[in-house]
Parts: sequence; C-alpha cells; structure tokens
Amino acid sequence: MKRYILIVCAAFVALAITVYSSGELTDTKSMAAEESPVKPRIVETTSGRLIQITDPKDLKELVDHSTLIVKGTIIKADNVQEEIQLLEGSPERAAVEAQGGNPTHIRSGINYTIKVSDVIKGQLDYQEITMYITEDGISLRPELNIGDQFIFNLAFNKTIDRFIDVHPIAGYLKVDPENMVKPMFNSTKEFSNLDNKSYDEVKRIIKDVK
Amino acid sequence: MKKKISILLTMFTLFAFLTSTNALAHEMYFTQSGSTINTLPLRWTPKNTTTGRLKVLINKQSLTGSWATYFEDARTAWHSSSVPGEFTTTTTTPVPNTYMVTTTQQYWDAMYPDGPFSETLGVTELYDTNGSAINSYATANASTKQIKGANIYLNPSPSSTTAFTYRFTMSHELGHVLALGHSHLPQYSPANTSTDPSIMSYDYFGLGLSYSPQTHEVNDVKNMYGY
Repeated sequence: MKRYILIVCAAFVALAITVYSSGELTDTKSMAAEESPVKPRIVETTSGRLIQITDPKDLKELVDHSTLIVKGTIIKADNVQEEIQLLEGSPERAAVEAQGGNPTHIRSGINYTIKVSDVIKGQLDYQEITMYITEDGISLRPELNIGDQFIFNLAFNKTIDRFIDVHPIAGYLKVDPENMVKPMFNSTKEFSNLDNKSYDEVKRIIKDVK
Repeated sequence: MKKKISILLTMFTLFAFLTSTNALAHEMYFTQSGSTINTLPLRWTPKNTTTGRLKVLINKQSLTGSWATYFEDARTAWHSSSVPGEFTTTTTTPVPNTYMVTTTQQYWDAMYPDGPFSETLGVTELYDTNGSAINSYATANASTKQIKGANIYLNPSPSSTTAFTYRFTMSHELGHVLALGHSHLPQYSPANTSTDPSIMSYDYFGLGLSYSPQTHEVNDVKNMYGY
C-alpha cells in the first residue's frame, strides 16, 4: 500500500511543480511590461472599437468642455448608416485595398432630435438640434428614449456638422416631469449632490461654475 | 487499501482538474439567449506550413508616432509568448496578411466623432477568405468564418495616452487578429483578473500590470485551434 501512496504522492508533487513553473513563466513575462496603473478606463464596443474614457474631475471641467448646455426633450431618434469614403492615397485606403476590400467604411449611429426648452450655456438660434451618438452596442450611455427630458452637455462637431455629447454618462442629467434633476453620473460628490434638486437650482449651480 | 488508493486518486483528479487549463475559449462574436451563449467561431487560417503555427505577417509601414515607437514591444510580447503563433513584420515578400495603420486625421474624425472625455484608440477589422470585411455579428455571420487577414486602424492623435496604453491597445488588437474575443464580459464566463489574468479583458487593462499575452490567451488559442 505504501508503494501506491508513494507513487500517487510523487505524481502529485510533479504536477504541482509543473503548474508552479508555468505560473512563474507568465510572471516573468509580465515583469518586463510593468508600469504604473492608468487612470482612464477602457471599454470596447461590440464592433471592436477600443475607447478610452476619462471622467470629469468636477462639474467645472464638464461645463468648461461643453460649448452648449441645454434643457431639452428627445423628440426623434433615427438610426443612420453613413458611408465614409476612404481618401485615395491614404494609409487606411491602402490597407483596405491590400485586403481586396471596399474603399468605404460605414459609420453607424443614431441622430437624436432634441427640442430645446432652455439654454443654460452657449448660444442657439434654433429650437431643435441634432445630437449624434455613434453606435456602441454596450449601452455606454443612459437610456435615451423619445419623450425623455435631460440637461444635455454638448459640443459641436464640425466634421459631422452635428452636436455630440461631451461625456457618455456625465453629459446627461435627467429632468423628471416635476422638474427635479437626476444626474446620470454620481462618482463625485459634486455630481451626486445635484440629485433631486430642482431644475432651477441646478441651472443656477451650472451658471455659477467659473 | 483499495479505499485509501481510491481516495488519493480522487484527490489527485480533483487537484488536476482545479489546476487544468480553462477549456472555454472566448470567441469574438456570440449571441445570448437567457443564460445560454451561442458562439460564432471565426478562425485565422494563415499558418506556417512547416511548423503548423499560426502566422501573422504584419505590414507596419503606415504606423507613425508613438504607435510606431511601441509596436515592437506589442509584437514581441506575442511572438515570444507560448501562444502557438508567429508574429513577424514584412513589407512585400512574404505578402503581409495584417496591416497596422495610423490613419489620417480626416478619416478618424469622420469615423469616430468622440467627445473631449472619450476617444477611440483602435479598431480591428477582419477579412474572410472571400475578402469580405468583418466588423459586426451580422458580417461575421455572413462570412466564410475563415479569416485570411486583418487591418488594425489606430488613432492618429490620441491625447494623454501612456506608453502602457499604446502597448496594451496594440497587443489587445493582435489578440483579435487571432479571433480572440473579450474575456471580461459578465455574461460570458468572465476571467478573474487575479486568478486568470487576460489581456483580452479591459478589467485587466485597468490594473495596468501587463500587455503580454497571459496563460489565458495561450489556452484560448490552443483550445480554439486544437494545438
């Protein structure tokens, strides 16, 4: 019996050494790549787009980056697929042609039509604006439904000739039918303190940001 | 005596099972129905005919800036890993099957209109044996499922990007070239960042520890390709 136990134990030890060595190899490889952790987070869409997201450190930073802050209601949402022609002679076109592919890429997203009821920051000549959101498939943003009212923090993108949100979460503060505000981003106290405040009060706070 | 041997063998089997490689590989595309995951396996086809190892021949001529600076680190991380694959560079001969490109600013701005707090760093596009681009579940489903090439497009002017992020982004995208999927998704057998580190997990990216393929990637490639 002792012989059997000895054989089994030896096998057990051999396996343990193999597993330990394998782990050690991985650690050795990792050591060469060690660097201090990064602050921004990375997400990736279902279509394989790797996005780096940085959160605003405070309300001021969000407001500073917003060229237009409005209170508005989503009245329309259109799925759009737009062809982007790859410029002749560009490296992206050369790569596509080398693979025998089509020299156009498709940009997929949603055009949201927003009926603006109040402007908190910036100038606006129209009552309705279009905000474009690129498709991500991972619910990066809060639910944006027709009829929903938000304070939108926006920037105008000249390339696509539409507004975009400045942050996928912090850019949205929901306003309920009673005109009470719920920020979608609450990772800092300054944002969470806006929760359940009246729209007029939040508007004043945003306007006071310097 | 038989009883004792039986107990020891059971313990041995249990130990072997607990320390064995993860049999579940993460595919790039899948659908979910309740708790059931239905995968859509894509497979990289170029191989070294002598060694049988997967062959990724990279044209890096259009890499510029820091992407060019850190490319070699990401490539070497894969090439020198235990993954049964070769990651080498080439210009024309042998013919490249993977193009890594820092795109024009005009293209990037048009394709990825990001806000000031978010920026797209990189995208991988696979090509099947018919030359059809795969960049969604629908295009993957309509493809031959056999991959002959890949293009990796990279942001021409990322802001506040660290050396680690450049290396990790390229290394992560090279994982997609072999059709490896994400390993952090909660609904799809997520890899534990402590006990099963994986560069195909962006939870692991957040730790900033390594951009080198881990045992997780080695096992996924072995399971997917039958090595």
